[in-house]
Amino acid sequence: MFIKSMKIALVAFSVFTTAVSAQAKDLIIGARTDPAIDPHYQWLSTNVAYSLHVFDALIKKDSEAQWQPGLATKWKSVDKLTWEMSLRKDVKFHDGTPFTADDVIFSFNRLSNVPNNPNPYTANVRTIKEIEKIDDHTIRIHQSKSDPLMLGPLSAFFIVSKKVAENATTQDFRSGKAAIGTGPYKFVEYKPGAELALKRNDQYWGDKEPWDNVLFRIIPNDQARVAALLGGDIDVIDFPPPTEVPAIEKNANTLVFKRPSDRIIYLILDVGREDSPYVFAKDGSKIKNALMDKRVRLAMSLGIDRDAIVSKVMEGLAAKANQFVPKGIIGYNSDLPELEYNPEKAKKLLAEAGYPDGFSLTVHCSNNRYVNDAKICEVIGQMLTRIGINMKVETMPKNIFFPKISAYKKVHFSLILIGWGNSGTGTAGPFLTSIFHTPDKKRRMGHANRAHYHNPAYDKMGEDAAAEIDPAVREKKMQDAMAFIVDKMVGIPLHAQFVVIGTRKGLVATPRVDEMTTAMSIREAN
Amino acid sequence: MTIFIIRRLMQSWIVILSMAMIVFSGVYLIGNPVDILINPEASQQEIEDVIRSLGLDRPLWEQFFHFIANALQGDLGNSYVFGSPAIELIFQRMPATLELATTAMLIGIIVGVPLGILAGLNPTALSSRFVMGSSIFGFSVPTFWIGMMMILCFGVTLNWLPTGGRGETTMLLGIEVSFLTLDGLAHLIMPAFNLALFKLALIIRLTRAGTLEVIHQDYIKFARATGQTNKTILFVHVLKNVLIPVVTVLGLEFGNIVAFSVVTETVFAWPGMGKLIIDSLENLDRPVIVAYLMIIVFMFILINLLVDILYSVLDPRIRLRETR
Repeated sequence: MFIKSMKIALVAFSVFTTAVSAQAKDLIIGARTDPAIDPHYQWLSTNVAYSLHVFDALIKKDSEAQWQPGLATKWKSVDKLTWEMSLRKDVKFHDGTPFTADDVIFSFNRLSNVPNNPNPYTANVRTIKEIEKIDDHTIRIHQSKSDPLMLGPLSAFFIVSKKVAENATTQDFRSGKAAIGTGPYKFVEYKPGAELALKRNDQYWGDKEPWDNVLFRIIPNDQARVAALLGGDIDVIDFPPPTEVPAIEKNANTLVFKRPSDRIIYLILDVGREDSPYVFAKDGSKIKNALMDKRVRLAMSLGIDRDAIVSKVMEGLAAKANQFVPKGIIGYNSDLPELEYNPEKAKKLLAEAGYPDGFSLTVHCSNNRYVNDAKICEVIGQMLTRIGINMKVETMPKNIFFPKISAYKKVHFSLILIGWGNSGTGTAGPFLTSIFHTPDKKRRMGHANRAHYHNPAYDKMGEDAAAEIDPAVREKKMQDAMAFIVDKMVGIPLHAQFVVIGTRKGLVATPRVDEMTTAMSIREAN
Repeated sequence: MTIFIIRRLMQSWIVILSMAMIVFSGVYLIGNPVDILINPEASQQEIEDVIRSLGLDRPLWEQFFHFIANALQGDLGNSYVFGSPAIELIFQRMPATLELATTAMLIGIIVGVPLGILAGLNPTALSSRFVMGSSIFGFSVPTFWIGMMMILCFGVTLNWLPTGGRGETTMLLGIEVSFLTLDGLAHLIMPAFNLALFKLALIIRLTRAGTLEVIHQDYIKFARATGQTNKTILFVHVLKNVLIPVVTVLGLEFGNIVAFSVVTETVFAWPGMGKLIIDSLENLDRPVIVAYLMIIVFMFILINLLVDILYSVLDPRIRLRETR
């Protein structure tokens, strides 16, 4: 009897819930993380994605990470260190106040002065010395050094209203009091750990959004997010785990949209320290760092079967890489050949380098930072064992891993697996001046050089490319630097992981290369 | 009794303080949160600026005393991840967890105690064996697996219940609750039942063991001899004595459910505080970790105190004394 009445109640519930979700023009997105709401607090790509709904930046990045007009309609360089920008007219904040140059200058000053901020957005405007107001809709940007790539990061510099955000704290944004921007959606309500509700901004300057209301439900657990989509509770999810993608594809009510992202997963080798912490002879005695020999590095690249990683470990949700930026990002060099898999040749090269019997090496990886990071690491351990290197694999949570590979303190490992996203500028510029560039604290370069690689010729190539104003020349210079560093094999590129979005049937998603999930990239199928 | 309570509460401060010290230095040992939180594109100079602005460049003892000084004024620091006060973050999420835990506990008691007594009164009956047999599942099958299976079955395949979240909430005395709306109840029932399973099995077993023991006591035989009805014997004499061990365990288990219901909360995307502590640990968000554990310690102390008081109500032989 009890069970029976339960059943009746259950049916009543389900009827009720379907009635609610049948309302048209509402979009429910299942997201992994809580939003910061304050667009100047916690620089994470997930936060930038949330901010894109409520706020605008001077530059807008399209789904390919290329620069488009945002609140700035035109820009030109006056001289090497000065840019002039025309601001969009007739733009209003959600509270009705008109947008002017004062809001830009206010936002610029606020950006680096948010208290208690462990991850400020300052790096996005690091070369900007001052923003000068010419008139209400014209500004001049004065730079401390020539940095034409600044236009890319400007897309993560969101403009807040001077009127409401003056003296506003991060807390005021979370409560909604100061969450007033010019973006395509208005802030409605935020429940921490549960949901963020938005509604369409009918006064938006750009194309009107098709959704009346957008609700982000925060579901950090991968399986729970997939279940919510399959169960029809939500319309869209991002980052389904690769093992669940076939289930979404097979289900008659759901669809999968995917593309390669801007993030290249690669190995960093310690090529600079003669005494590297995890390089030993086979008997365990200390030897001179074998990774300093280019032939050994080449052999390691030859020993890795990238096709197997893509098809077996990544379940097809990745694209092989032969350099450190994916196709579509400026600096991608299409002349570079594929990186070959040839274990026989690898063994020969190792013997030539003086390691016919191999040596001992440990690869260190995180196990909760990149898609399948720990699994990739284990497979690489096995592949390199096959060419004769005595491999050990150690994986650890990211909160242990990253403090141990801090380039500005000490890198505790010899071989590490890591990823690098390239859509900040949409070019290879930051990669070229950060990852294998000689560390230079003052000029803010080489801060992520975990390979201990030092080569003045390469440093100069990267710097020149990043400072070049002419886009065509810049691209050529970046491609040359890319070819140079791939040839040196200081890092071994593996693959670009895919951005995957799952939706209910009847929707079309256009995944962005920068892995951001927005309501703006979801449309109804015609 | 008042002295007993006051003394207990005073002792709790020592426990809380040492807890803070252990957690504080433990998190400090793991590493610098800035290394994890900062964007990989930030330069060395920017990283150092941030570390200085958060005071993380100071020696550990200095950071700790700074923390204690603030804590005495009721400020446990701001979360590095959310930017809002740690204590506020925790209290914002506490109602959701408390609601889930209370519902689970109620399911456990309402279903578990009668079943346990039944199984204890007729230990050889087929139904009793069935109850005891199924309680083994409650113990041994992992919660997250049952949770996933429930979602798959009732949420995805049959589509009777929502797969997760809290649903529609209403305000009750200034606190958001789910159980007053139909939609909220539909969201609550699965996670609560999932969380209750283990407790249910525990309560059934405890009650059964208690019943088996009590039923053979002299006072029960004597009560029977005086001609009291079965009903009186069961509800007055058996139940009261059976409940003593059950109350102890329930008290501790309730604390456990509130503090560490993270598995169920994660699987059902329940916006409670269990998820908060896991995220905070992942990001080394020290202010939240320390505040969370301090609150939990305090809660356990409070629950233990309540259990002691309940004892003396249930069993007059137990007196609360000032222990020396």
